[in-house]
Amino acid sequence: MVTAHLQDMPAAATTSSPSRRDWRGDAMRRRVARRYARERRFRMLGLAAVIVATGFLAFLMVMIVGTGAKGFQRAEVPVDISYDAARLGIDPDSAVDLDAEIVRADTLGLVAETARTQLGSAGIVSEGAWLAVRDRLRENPALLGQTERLWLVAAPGIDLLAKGNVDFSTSPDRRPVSQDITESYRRLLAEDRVRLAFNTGFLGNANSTSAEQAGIWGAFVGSILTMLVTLGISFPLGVMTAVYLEEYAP
Amino acid sequence: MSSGVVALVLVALTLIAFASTRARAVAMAGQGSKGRFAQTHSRPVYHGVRAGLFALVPAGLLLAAWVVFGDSIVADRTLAQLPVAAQPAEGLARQTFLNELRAVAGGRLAAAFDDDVAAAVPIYLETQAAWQWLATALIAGLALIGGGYAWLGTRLGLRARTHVERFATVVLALASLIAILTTFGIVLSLFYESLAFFGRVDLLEFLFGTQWSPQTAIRADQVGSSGAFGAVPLFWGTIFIGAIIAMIVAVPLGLMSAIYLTQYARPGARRVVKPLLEILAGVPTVVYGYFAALTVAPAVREFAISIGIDSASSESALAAGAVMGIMIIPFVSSMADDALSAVPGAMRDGSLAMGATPSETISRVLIPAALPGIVGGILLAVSRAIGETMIVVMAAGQAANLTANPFESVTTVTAQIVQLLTGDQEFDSAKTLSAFALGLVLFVVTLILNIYALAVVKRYREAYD
Repeated sequence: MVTAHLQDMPAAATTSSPSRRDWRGDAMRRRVARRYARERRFRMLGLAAVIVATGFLAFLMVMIVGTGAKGFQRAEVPVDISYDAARLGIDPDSAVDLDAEIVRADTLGLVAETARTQLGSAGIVSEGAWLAVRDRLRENPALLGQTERLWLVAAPGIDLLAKGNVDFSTSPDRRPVSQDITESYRRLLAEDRVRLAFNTGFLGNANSTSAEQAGIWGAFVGSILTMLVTLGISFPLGVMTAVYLEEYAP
Repeated sequence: MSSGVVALVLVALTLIAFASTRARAVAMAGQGSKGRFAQTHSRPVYHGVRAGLFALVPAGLLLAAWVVFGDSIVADRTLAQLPVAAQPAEGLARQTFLNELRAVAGGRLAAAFDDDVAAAVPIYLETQAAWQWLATALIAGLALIGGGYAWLGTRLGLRARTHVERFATVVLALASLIAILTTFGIVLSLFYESLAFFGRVDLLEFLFGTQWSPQTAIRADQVGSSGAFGAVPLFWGTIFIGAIIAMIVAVPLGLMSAIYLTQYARPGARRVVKPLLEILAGVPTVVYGYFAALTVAPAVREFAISIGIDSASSESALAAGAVMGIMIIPFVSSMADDALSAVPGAMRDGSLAMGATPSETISRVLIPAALPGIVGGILLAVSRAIGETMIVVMAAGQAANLTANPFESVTTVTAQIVQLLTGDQEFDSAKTLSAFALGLVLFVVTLILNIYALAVVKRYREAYD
């Protein structure tokens, strides 16, 4: 039956004029080569799409980590603070509540004076730096009367310069740091009196109007609490709904 | 007695009911010929649990009602006992009075500012104590009655297990209802506020008008407050950024990635690359917005200026759309991957056996076969892109603009909703209410897209099963 069928097939059913297709001729070879070339191009296109997509991811990560990593550092300057009881107005022997006395003392003035004499200007340390000095004294009142070297958080201008975030190609009045601060920074750098240290305040402090004192702790705790409430509501409800729909619902 | 203590008492009573009923059931079982519990319908623990539920549920509901409404009942009763002259007026005065009263009574405030409040504090404390004892007595009483009823009703033939199982079914069904009811609640609130809006602004003008300038005048002669509420520029902005530009980025990349990963990649490479693509979906959208606003937008603007378009904005549709497209790639890729994998292997093998190259197999056999799934995936991605807020708020503009130039700034429905609801207009002005109308339109559109996409995908799956 099959052979009869083949004999009855009209000549028009074959597409080339010879009764058998020429599989080795030039025309066919060219067609096959074109098809394989198209195949290779398609495959390359697929690979290119994967590479571009993962490339976006890599670019995003690199950009974020690169720009953000500097947030984990902060500029610090050394000062020799002498906890002079007379200057602070505290009498350690007759004080009733030493802690309250320390809180009321003029630590701000002491730090400003020390910065002015040792570094050249009170504007080189951060405006919140005196709090660190006060807390240190509160933890350890025995420091009264002694001198120690502390690395205090530097002012925002010094921080920008130390991290290289200032564009010096613009004109001086359009830069974010003043000429004085720039000179002070260069002098301190030459005397090796400024360093970039790990920013412990970033994770521990809450919001602040002084950028160098700001941290994410408040926001982080808020995120955790929100997540706990969300989990507490969605997890039981979701699991119970799934169990009902899977096991019980008709 | 605070609510916490009452709750503990309730738990204790429940446990007592459970233990005693279980013991009673054990005692009743006696010595059967086939073993101790042969003659009971349910094992003793089910009797115990049933009794515990009888004790816990009614009393628990009363406790919940007390926690929710108790404070306002006490406040009402206190105010009713005050002399008429001392009672505050309705509304804000009453609220302030009660706030101060609660603060003084709770010890947070040392002394009251208002003399009437100071006089009311002892009455409040007395009323509160009385009602709390009453509530405690009722709750404990209900628990005892419920537990006692169940304890007394313990019989050999009691179908305790059936009762307990039915209770569990009801609880699970209620849990699934809560999700549905919450959705209904959201839609209803959107509807209600939108009706208030459409009372002030014509529906057709909203849906088909082309001027969006929602500033309504406070004074009659205020300049620049036309109050035009035609939302077509917003709809166009949403479609332009979300359905056109984002899809131009996401569909080729996502589809070709899926094709490459399913057809050409080695299994080891696929195992590594597929999770990497999923990470793109896991990046917080606020990070994408920040990336779009600070890195992509300036680059797009400089590119536009360099090819001669001077009016390029630094908040261009192209920047926001491109970053949104990057975010959407995993959605398209994932659905296309599933669709392609679900095509029967026989079709692929047959095509290859006939001499087709893999690319011809993919483009002429697999894609047409997987097309419903792929289209469904794209529709789901579009609905996600339309509803995306953070990227457009940070990277796209704020002024409604009906333009086809991707370098200009357009705004979307979601960005406008944020702007309208975080402003300081009064709540029932047409401007703020228009946010609800926009939200309703957004909800309806994404709902239709989702339903259609899921129906398409489901029908496709059935064809091969």
